[in-house]
Amino acid sequence: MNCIEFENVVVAIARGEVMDAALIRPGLAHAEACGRCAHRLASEKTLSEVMAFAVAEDSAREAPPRVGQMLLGAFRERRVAAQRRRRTWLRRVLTGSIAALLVFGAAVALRKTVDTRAAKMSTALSAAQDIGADAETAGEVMTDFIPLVYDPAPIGRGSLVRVELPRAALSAFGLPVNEDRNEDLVQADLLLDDDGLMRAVRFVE
Amino acid sequence: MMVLTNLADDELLRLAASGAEEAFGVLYQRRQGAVYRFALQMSGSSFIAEDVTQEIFLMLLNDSSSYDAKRGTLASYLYGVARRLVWRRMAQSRSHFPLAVVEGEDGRTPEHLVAFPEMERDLARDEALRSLRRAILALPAGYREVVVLCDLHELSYSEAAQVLGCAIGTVRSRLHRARALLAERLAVKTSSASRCLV
Repeated sequence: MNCIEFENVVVAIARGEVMDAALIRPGLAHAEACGRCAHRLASEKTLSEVMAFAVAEDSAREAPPRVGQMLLGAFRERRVAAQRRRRTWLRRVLTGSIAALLVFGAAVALRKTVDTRAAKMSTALSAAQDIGADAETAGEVMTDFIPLVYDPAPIGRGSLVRVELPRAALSAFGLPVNEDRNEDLVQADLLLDDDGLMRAVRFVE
Repeated sequence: MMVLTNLADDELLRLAASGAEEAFGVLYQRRQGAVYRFALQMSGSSFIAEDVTQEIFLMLLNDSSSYDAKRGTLASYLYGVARRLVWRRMAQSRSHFPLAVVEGEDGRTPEHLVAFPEMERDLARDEALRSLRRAILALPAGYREVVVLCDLHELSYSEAAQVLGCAIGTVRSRLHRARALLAERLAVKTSSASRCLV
C-alpha cells in the first residue's frame, strides 16, 4: 500500500468502521513504515477520540423544558380548535339533514294532495261519463266532459241536462269556433250533482 | 405510557395527529434531543437550536402529512428539516456567525457548550473539546453537516446521504476532507491533550 491508498482508508481505520481486514492490515503496516502516514493516522485517531468525548458530553443536551411546554400548549389548543370545528361541522350536518327532511316531507305531502285532487277529478269525470253514457245516441259527436270546478267531490248520483248555448261559449273552454257562426246555437250536456250544481259540461254535435 | 414508548415513530405520529397528547409527548421526548443537538452543533447558538426545535415540532403538529414514511425514517426527515431551518436562520441572522458565538466576550467557551463540571477539571480534555467545537463551526457548511451527522450523531453514510439528499460517495468524500481539515486544525492544539486522552 502506498500513501495515496493509505489516505483512502485512514478515516475508516480511525473511525473503526467495519471494513475488509485485507485493507486494514496493509494500512497499518504502511503507517508503521511511513512517518507522514503514521502522523496522519495518529491525528485521525485523536480526532475520533475527541469526537467520542463530544458525543458523550452532548448526549445529555436537550431542548429547554419551556419548548416542550409550549408545544404541549399548542397541541392542546389545536385539539380544542379541532373539536370546535368538528362540533360546528356536526351542527351544520344536523341542520342540513333536518332541512332536507322538512323539504322532503313537504314534497311528499304536496304530491299526496295533488294525487288526491287528481283522483277526485278523475272519479268525478268517470262518474259523469257513466251518467252521460245513457244519454249518448248513435250519430252524435261529443267532446269529453270538461270540469267546471277545480276540486269536484266524487259524484254519487247526478243528472244530465241537455241545453243549447251560443256557439261562442265553446271558446270559453278553449275549443275552436268559427267566428261567422258565433250566433248559432250548439247543444251541450250539463252534468249536475245532487245539489243542482254544475260539475262538468260536454258539447254535442 | 408504557405501551406508547414501545411504539414506532410513525405510529406515535399517527396517534398524535388524531389528538393523542401522550403520543405526541412520547414522540417529542424521543426526538427533541437529536434535533436540538444537531441545530446547536450546526449553528453554535442555543437560541437558534431552541427555535428550530420548536418550529419543527410545531410543523409536525400542524401538518403531520408533510412526513412520508415511504421516503425514509422520521429521524432522517427531522434532520433534513432541521438542516434547512438552521441554514435559513443563520442566513437571516449574521450575528450568529459561528466563531463569534462559540467564544464569549472574554474568549472563553460559553457555559452552554461546556457541560459536566467534573470535565472542566480536566483542562486538556476541555481544551480539546473546545478546539474541536470551534473547528467544526469554522468548517465550510457542506463539510460541517457531514461531520455533525456522521461523527457527532453517528449516522451511517447512507442515513446521512438520505438527510442531505446526496450520494453516499459524496458523504464519504466530504467527511474525509472535513476530518482532514479538523485534524489539521486540531493537530497543534491537541498535541498535548491527545496524550492525556489516550
